[in-house]
Amino acid sequence: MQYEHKILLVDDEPLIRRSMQKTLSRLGFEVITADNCIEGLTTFEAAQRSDNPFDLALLDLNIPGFTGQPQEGAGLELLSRLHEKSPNLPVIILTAYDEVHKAKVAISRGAREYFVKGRDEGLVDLMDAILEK
Amino acid sequence: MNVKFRPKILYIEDTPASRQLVSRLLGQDYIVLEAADPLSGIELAQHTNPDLIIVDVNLPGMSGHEVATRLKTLYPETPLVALTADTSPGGRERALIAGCAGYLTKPIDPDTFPEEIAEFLAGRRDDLDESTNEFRAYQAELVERLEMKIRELTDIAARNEYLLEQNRQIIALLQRRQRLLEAAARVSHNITSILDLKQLLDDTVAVICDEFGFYFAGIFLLDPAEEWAELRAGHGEAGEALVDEGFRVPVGFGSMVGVAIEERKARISLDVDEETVYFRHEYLPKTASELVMPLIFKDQVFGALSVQSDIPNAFSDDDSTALQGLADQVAVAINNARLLQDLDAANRELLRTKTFEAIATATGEAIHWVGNKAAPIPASAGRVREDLTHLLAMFQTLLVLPETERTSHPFWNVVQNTFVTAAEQSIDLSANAEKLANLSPNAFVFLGDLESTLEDLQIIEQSARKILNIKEDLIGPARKPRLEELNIAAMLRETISGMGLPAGVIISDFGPDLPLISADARQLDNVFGNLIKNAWEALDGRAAPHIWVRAFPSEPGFIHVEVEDNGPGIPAEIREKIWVSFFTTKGGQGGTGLGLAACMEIIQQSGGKIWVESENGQGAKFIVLLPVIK
Repeated sequence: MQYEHKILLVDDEPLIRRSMQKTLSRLGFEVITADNCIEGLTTFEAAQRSDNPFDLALLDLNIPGFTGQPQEGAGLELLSRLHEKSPNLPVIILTAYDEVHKAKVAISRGAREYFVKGRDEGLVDLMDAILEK
Repeated sequence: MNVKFRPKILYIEDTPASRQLVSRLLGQDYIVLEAADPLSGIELAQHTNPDLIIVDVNLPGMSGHEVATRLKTLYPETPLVALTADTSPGGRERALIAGCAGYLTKPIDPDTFPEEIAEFLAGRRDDLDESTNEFRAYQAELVERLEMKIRELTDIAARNEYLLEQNRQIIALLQRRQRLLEAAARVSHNITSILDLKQLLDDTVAVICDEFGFYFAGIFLLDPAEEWAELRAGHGEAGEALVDEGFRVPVGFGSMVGVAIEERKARISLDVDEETVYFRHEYLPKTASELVMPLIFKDQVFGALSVQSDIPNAFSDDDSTALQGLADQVAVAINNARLLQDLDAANRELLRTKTFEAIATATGEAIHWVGNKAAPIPASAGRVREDLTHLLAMFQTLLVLPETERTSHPFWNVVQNTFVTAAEQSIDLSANAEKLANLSPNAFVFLGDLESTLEDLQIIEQSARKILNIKEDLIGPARKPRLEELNIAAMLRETISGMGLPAGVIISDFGPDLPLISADARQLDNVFGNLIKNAWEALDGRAAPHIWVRAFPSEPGFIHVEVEDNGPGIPAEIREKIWVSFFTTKGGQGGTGLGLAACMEIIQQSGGKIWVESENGQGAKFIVLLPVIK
């Protein structure tokens, strides 16, 4: 089976990660998951070296950072590292909270969008809009 | 050399030149003693016991004759000689009658004078002839002078009496002044030690009545609108009764208190029957005079002190001065107490705000957490429904196929795989089938019922969506705010027209040239839509319902927007709770109680402030401050 888009999903909450993966998979996305920054970066780099790199990354804001410890805003760090490898990669930052200032920071750090988790439909609309451009 | 015995001669004479001459003429042979007035002459005579006394006839105070008479009584043996420039007829006779041994005239003849004195010392006594008339004349003169002296003394006594009375009054005045000062000091002391306004006012009127002995003392304070002066403390006759019944007078004409406050001047009525604007009350029938002083501190009038007496003209200048001093002190104290009250209120307000903020934050976090955990549920339920549908479709397809074609159909393997998965998941399908087979056919209604299964899925989905809805109500639409430069007046006009309320209900008033703000128009539309919706619901069933929406520049850097209604107002006891999530006044008629909590969150995120002002029965006013673009 050939997927249209390949998505990297990094979130440390297993149930949320799995549910989101299933939703997106059924809609035709190839979803590769990771639950921390290190694994996220490794997965991304491996895909880049292959002939099938990621088209978009969904990064939770608060995930275990590169130190291996849970860290507030670690998602932004991963965002920067991914952009070092692939400057044009569209990234959506996910969060459980509607924190305006963090959204602003994420956008200023190069994220395409900021999404408060809750309704996967909304997320899918965002992804479609970005990927169709 | 023999010490020569020199007789002593006393010369009573007020003219220094005469004393000098006599002293020179007689100094050689006599010891000359001098006295300048009759009384010291008599005194000197008593101490020195002179051998001869020369007395001037014209002396201050007593006449020489009287001195002579007196000396003659005291020293009958000592010869007296009158020496005078008075050569009028009868002079010699009167001198002799008065008791003088001789009568010499001035100017003094230096050649004969010492000789004549020597003669008198030796015992010369001039005779008196035809003395009767002169004697009577001298007696009449004496009586006349005596009467004069008595009159003088009587006058002096009367004068003394007057002075004594004056002294007494001055002392009384001083004592009173002292008491007033002590009273003022006592009040001042209280003022520094009492910060409770009520106690201070009560103490002050009590001290005034007790120390000054007045019939009534009362302190009036202005109401916040400065239209009425309310009696806040009263002492003496009916004082407490008047305070209890909330006695008050309007500021301005109509009462001495009202006028004193308006004119910022003390008013005194020494006889209330003549004063047109006195404070008369049926409880105070005996008021005869009244003194009212405004309580002023730094150009601010707080009220007035009224003191009343049951006697006319009761207030002296001292009273006024002391009471004015007291009034000034009281004004300072009221100012202090008010400052403290303000501080206290600000403190409590801060504590309340912080408490509710903490509650709101905690509630918000809890909702986020629950919402977060519930997030995968709807999607999962959706997939279960989808998979169930797929499985049913496959079973149906296989069931209608002839047996020979089933195993070659692509669904066959899929279905077979589900049995493998069930076994892997330790679901014993054979045992389950056996159990079902043993049941009566009626029981099948409740088992394997697709309708019930779908309903359960719906229950799961709906419950999860409710939780997500609540989370989204609280945090606003799940999206990042789109900040833009916003004309608040244009935005409010759109919000208002979108509400579709009956014409005339909303009265808007937007100041000209309002500065732009930076905000998310959709979020602000939610906030003001919410406030207007709440106002409209509060106005349900009320006559002439109105909602005022106003916007104007306020404290530097902010625009002030307010939404006010003429509904029933918000009771004080719930005025803080309305901001807390899940608090609702709408009972079962919908509403999650998240509207205002969300409004507060949105406004605070925009760097603004939101609060409510309301008095029971007088509508509610929600005020929003939004920062303008710098």
